[in-house]
Amino acid sequence: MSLESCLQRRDIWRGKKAAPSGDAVATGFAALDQHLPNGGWPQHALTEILVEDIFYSPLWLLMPALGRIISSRPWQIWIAPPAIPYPPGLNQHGLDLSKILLINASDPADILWSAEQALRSRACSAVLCWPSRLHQSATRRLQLAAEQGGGLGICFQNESALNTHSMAALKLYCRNTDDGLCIDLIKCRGGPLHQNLMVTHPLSQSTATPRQHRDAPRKT
Amino acid sequence: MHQERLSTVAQLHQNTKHQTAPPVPVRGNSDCNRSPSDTLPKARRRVVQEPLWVAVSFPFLPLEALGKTTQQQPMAVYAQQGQTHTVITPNQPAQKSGVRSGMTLTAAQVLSPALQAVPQDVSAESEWLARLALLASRWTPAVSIAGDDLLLEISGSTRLFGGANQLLGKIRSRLTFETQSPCISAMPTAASALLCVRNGKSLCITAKEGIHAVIRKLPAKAVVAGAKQQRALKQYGISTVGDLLRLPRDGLARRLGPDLVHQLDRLLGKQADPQAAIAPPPVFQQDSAFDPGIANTGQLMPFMEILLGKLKAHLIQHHVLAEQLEWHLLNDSNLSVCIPVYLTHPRGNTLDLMKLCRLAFEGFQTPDLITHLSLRVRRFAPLPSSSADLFSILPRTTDREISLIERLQNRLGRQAVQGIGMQPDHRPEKAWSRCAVGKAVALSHGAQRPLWLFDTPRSIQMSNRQLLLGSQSFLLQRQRERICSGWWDSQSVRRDYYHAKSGALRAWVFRDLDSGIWQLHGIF
Repeated sequence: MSLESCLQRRDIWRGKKAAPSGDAVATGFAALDQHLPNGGWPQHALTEILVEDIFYSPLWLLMPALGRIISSRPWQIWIAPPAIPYPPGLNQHGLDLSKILLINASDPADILWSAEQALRSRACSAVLCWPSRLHQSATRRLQLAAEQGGGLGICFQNESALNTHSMAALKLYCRNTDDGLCIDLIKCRGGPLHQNLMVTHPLSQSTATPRQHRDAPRKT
Repeated sequence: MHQERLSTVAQLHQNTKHQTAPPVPVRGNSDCNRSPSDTLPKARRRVVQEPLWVAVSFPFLPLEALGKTTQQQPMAVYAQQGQTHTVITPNQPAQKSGVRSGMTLTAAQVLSPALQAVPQDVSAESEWLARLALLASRWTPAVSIAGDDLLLEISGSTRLFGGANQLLGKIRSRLTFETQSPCISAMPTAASALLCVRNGKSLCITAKEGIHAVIRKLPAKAVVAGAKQQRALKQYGISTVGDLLRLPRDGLARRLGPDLVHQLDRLLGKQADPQAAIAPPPVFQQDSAFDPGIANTGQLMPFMEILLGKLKAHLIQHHVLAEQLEWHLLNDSNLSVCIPVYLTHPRGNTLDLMKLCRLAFEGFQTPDLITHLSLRVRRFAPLPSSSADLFSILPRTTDREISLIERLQNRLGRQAVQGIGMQPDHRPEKAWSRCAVGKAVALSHGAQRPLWLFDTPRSIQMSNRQLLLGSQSFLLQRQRERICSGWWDSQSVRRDYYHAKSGALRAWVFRDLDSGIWQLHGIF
């Protein structure tokens, strides 16, 4: 049996080459775009983002992509965010506030139900949700809903979900380091799992070297 | 009558000398048995649509209102006028034995000793008439009640029903099913149509020029109201409406009052005669009661479907859509629960409404037995006058987006689904607000603002020139801005805001100028 005939078998998968599987929206960060299968956040799919502290969910990581797709569909839905998504800040990142919908729900069942409805409806360009805990079957439901609705499904979770099984198309783990945000791909459908991708906050790129905190007021 | 030639509406237009346009009958028992088939198609060719009024009178209304229509023995409804009892409406067996309306009751009882006398019930009559008016609103929205008769303006719906004749046929067959021998006339003016049916004439005239020929033979006292004026007519030797129309107007107005002249003008369509159409009742309410009571909300669904079916009939009948629904549940300890169903735009489709009602009931749990369910709709919107697009078979995207909001709002409550907008205020916590869905306002803002804002700022320890929040230490960066505002509403703010950095985390911290406390307010 030659190597060529071996490679033509359908059950042989060559890991290095990322199979293009669908649309993606560019993240706006070169390190991520380079290593994600279609060069961005997968659309028609669920993305799980694991963070060390849910209160410091790195929204800035999503801003370029959200701003790019917000005009494509009527709504962008934020379900049970841990703090207030601050409208002046969102507006400065180019999000159309009239398209943003905030859903306050405390019951985990309500959060998942709304996320599924929103993802399935085809009316949302993106659905961001902060469920406290996501069971495997729930990730499957949300993934299927996103496949049907075609929007960008983003789930923020605590790092306790690091070892749980997930049906999401993309699962990232973000760690805060001194050099910037360090991202590990935990699961990535159709592409290799890269580790330690460094992404820096857009504000630290624009500002000059941080001054000494002598600038801080003398009286404390 | 036999000398009168049948002439079409078009001929009437050409030949104005032809004064005697014949009445065109719809019913065989009227005084002129001619087919109207060649009059109406030409009438439809006119560009400007003339109004066409259909008047319906119910000769047995007092009997029908009391539900006494099928009796075989003689019966009569009487009214008390002073000391005497006067027969208003005898039924057909009583008419056969010679009882007529207007007789005293004793005279009627002499003619027919077995006569059963029933007192008149005016309120039941008006209820019955209102019910018939509702029934008539399926043919046209312009239905009015004139005395004991109904008036329908049908010129707008003749095309829909395939012509005035077809529509009249439909009206006749439906009303004959409901009531006993109704008298139906279609005339170009409301007053002439009423005059015809009150004199027992069933006609269909579509041209104004034909009115004169029809009404000239009718008794003059039908248009004159007062007894004194009727006596005067008798003295002048005037017996028909035709005689009245021949008299000079100013003399008639001087002797019998100006109202009579106006009434004659209205009959011939020389004066406007607007009619007030009946308005749909402002509230729709339907109930269903359960004798043993229902414990499970799932068992309520079939009853809800029945009530929604009744609502749909109501909406169709009044040409409206529902704007908001309310379900009221009563349990066995007499505690009432209201479950509102929110609609983002008026709806009339029962299937959609049922889906939304299911969502609204999902979160509802009760330990008690539900004994009473009622559906109440207070707000209606008129049906949009534009028709649906013939080619838009697929649902439009706006329908989808709206139904998502409706689904979310009905399951989670209206307060849980909101938009976020900006407010013109310098204080960060007041520079935003929740608002109605899709109504957010964006304002331009100069300085950089964070993406997250904490509802209550978190206090930070300042130790050894480092800001510490738990185990995290923040490195303070250059000063950004001082915000001093809000002295007018006693929520004054005097703060210096800074950017702070902790690895990839960019924080928005402030130092209160009064207390000197450091707090974390937002995350970039």
